[in-house]
Amino acid sequence: MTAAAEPDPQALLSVRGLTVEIAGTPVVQDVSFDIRPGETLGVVGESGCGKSVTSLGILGLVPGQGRISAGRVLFQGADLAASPKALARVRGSGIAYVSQEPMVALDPTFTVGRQLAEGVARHTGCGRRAARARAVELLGRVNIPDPAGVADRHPHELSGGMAQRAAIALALAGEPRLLIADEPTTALDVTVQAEILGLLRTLAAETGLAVLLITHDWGVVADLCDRAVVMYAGQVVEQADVEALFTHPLHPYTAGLLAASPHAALPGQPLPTIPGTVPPPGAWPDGCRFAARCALVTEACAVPVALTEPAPGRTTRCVHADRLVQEGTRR
Amino acid sequence: MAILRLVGRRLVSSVPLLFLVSALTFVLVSLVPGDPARTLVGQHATAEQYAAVRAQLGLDRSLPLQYGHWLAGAVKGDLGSSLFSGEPVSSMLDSRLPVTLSLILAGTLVSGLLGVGLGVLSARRGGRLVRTVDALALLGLGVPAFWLALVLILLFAVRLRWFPVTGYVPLTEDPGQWLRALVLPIASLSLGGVAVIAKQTRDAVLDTLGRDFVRVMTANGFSPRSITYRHVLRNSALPLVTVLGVVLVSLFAGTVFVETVFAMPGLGGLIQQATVEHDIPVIQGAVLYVTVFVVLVNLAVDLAYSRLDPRVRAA
Amino acid sequence: MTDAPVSASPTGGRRRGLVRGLLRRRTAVLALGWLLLLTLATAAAPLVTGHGPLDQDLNSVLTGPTRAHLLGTDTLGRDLLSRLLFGGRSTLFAVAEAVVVYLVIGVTAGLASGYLGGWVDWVIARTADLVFALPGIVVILVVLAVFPGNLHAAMVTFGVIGSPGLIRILRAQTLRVREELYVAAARVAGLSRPQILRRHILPRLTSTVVVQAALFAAIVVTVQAGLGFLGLGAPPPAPSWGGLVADASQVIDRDPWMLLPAGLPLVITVVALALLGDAVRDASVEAWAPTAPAVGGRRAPHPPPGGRPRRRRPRQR
Repeated sequence: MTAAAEPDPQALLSVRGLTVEIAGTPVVQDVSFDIRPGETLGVVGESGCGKSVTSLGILGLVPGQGRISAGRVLFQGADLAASPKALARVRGSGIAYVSQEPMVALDPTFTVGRQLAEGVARHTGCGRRAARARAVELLGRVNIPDPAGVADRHPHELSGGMAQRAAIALALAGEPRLLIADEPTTALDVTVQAEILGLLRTLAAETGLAVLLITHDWGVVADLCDRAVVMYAGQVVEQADVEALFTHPLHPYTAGLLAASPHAALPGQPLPTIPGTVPPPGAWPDGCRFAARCALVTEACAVPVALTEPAPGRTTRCVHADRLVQEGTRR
Repeated sequence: MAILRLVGRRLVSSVPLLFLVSALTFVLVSLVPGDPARTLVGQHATAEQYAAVRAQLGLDRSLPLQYGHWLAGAVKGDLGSSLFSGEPVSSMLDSRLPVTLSLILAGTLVSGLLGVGLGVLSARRGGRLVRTVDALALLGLGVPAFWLALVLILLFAVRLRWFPVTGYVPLTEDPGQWLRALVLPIASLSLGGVAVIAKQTRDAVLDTLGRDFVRVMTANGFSPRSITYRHVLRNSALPLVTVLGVVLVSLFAGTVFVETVFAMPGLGGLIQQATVEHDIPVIQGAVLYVTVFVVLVNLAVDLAYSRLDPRVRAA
Repeated sequence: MTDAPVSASPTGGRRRGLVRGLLRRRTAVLALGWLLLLTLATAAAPLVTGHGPLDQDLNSVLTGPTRAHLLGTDTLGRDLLSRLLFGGRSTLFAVAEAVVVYLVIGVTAGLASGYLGGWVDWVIARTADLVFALPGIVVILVVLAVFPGNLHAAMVTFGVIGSPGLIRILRAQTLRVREELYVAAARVAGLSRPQILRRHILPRLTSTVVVQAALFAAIVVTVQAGLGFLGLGAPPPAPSWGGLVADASQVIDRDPWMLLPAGLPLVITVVALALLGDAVRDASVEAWAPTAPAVGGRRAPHPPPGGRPRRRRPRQR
């Protein structure tokens, strides 16, 4: 049984047992987590682990022929997975979304200002002029210099960092309580990455905005997140406060990912890697999905592994969890 | 300002095309086996009469000189006279232009509205509409306008008597009859255009619907209607504008047939008649008109492109 | 052999796959069947019908379909099936003429433009643009005004006017294929230009050429019929598909039946050519598709699940 079977009443968003299928094959299975108001939650994992599909599933935007086949997405009490109406109401004004590629996230044929104003008008119902003024104000809030000038530009006239700020401004147009940011800095230069992360941190601190941050970068997690969910092959494998996760990971996959992070690299030493690759959906084993790449693998790993709660507030999906709690993982 | 510069540049760059087409026509005409002067004066004319007519037609000069002479005239709006009626070519063409233009204009409107509507609908609904558009595209290619025109005449004019079989009523004479006489020609002219545009619209819209910004807008609560009709359609418009240009030119080709079937006094019918009658000056003038038309269509496409795509505008 | 490791560039197997893929498609088989039937029937026209295309029988005019005249007769009592089949000969011949010109110009210029680049490319691309802008039907009418009734001249001209379309497509594809590894490897291995073009590039373009030729042939059929309809094709007593439609238009109020045998074969032929083109394209996409990895059936067609594989994009500032 999952540790938190019942939704946390204090949570802003509670995902319970979310399962997403694309063309009949499950790509995300039985995913549960909570985000409290103002909290920043990281979702970590390699490519192909189901992080993006999870975040899009929350918004009812599973790509292609995919669909949510089970589970609940509770946002302020309403189940978004069951009610298209509630979903339509929540998009933009309750939950907003920032994507990975800023240069293609805005309509290239409209000026930044007009797109922002359209979003503002849609969510507040205010007039044209007020919407435009608010759009410029939003651009200022994401630290864009000369917001009025930028409002008159087209997306292709912006740099990647500026475009990502504009995209964040667009997401803020409906004054959401939760921002889903899918790898918001991956496509950007390192210096610009830091600026965007700083902006997100400021926004969260100043406005009480909760953030669901999809990333594969531990630096970003350490920098920004309060808690983190680690995903592997469509499942949650570990969930904990960031500090606990970094100092004492309770899943071999988390440990391996941490060791492979360039941030943890020792000068002159080759970066450790996890051998093998993530099995694609449809090729998932019945037992522990990480077993084939795991150093601790035993016969016990061949049966399905449930999430356990070895310590308060943290869960892991490993049969060796007790051992890991005892001796820690070799790093 | 930038727009004016674009127009200027385009017009200047179309000059070679106009030269090429008119010069090619001239060279071709010089290859004509027959002798227009001989045709005109007849077999029994004296040598003096024949020479006089040759001189009058300018045939006694060298080919480049003839071309220069024609070009000088053309710049002043003088395209010579018909070998048959003796009427000035430019006034013949001008008097027939309105019929053809109204056909093309209406054909464009019908193709554009029906085609885009059908395309967007089939992209959004999918299923049976997708197959309908595919079938329509096939028919648009396969059913020639002249045969479709005859089938329509048979059904709606001969059998049901809803519309006149042939003919054209000037707008100034009777707007109602003008419209009635135009319905069947426009319908037979537009099938191809509707088909092409519907298919292209569907493909372009489907393509755009898969782009990131659509997902971002949907996720951030933009209204679905605005996403489809403001953002997706506008982004899909770029490939469509190119197709629309091609459709416009092909509509002109269609008028040659449709005007012949419906016995309408237009440019297309005139070209057909002049070809049959071997009336070279009329053909030359018509080619010039058509080339100018093509140049203008291409210019319009470029302008629309720069209006629609800020990246082109900046370039 | 120097090129042994290189010519893994697969052609033979792919082509067989293409043909098999084609024969698996119902529309393709139907289209091919019709075109084959048409070719055979026109070639063996005297065996199919006992009437000559010019044989008049004023005692049975506009009969509609009868036992003696399967598709009926025209105003002079001539057998429509016979006129259709003999007229079909000129149609097929016209298509062959135009398509050959289209292919010769299109393939050579397209390959040269894409593979050689430089000034050759510049000249070809500019010329193609210029010719592309010409209003096709009008140019043909000019040619016919100068050479009355000369359909050969008209069809050769149409082949020329159509070729820029093929040039553009082949140029773009050649540019792409040229950059692929096995072609680069062939260059390094010291194969000569003609060898590379013939052995490594042309095979990759075959299906494109076939597709474009089929679509172009479809257009030629319509244009040839259109010219016949306008009275610009073969002079009167000779049968042609367009001429049949024109004849039918004269008696539309007395004998509407004639519209069908006059027009339907035309429509079916054009549609068959277009369908064939589509089918070849689909089959070739299948034949060239990377042999799918897919554990457990077809892979999800849409984005790879989970975090999308990060394409290495240039980082943006």
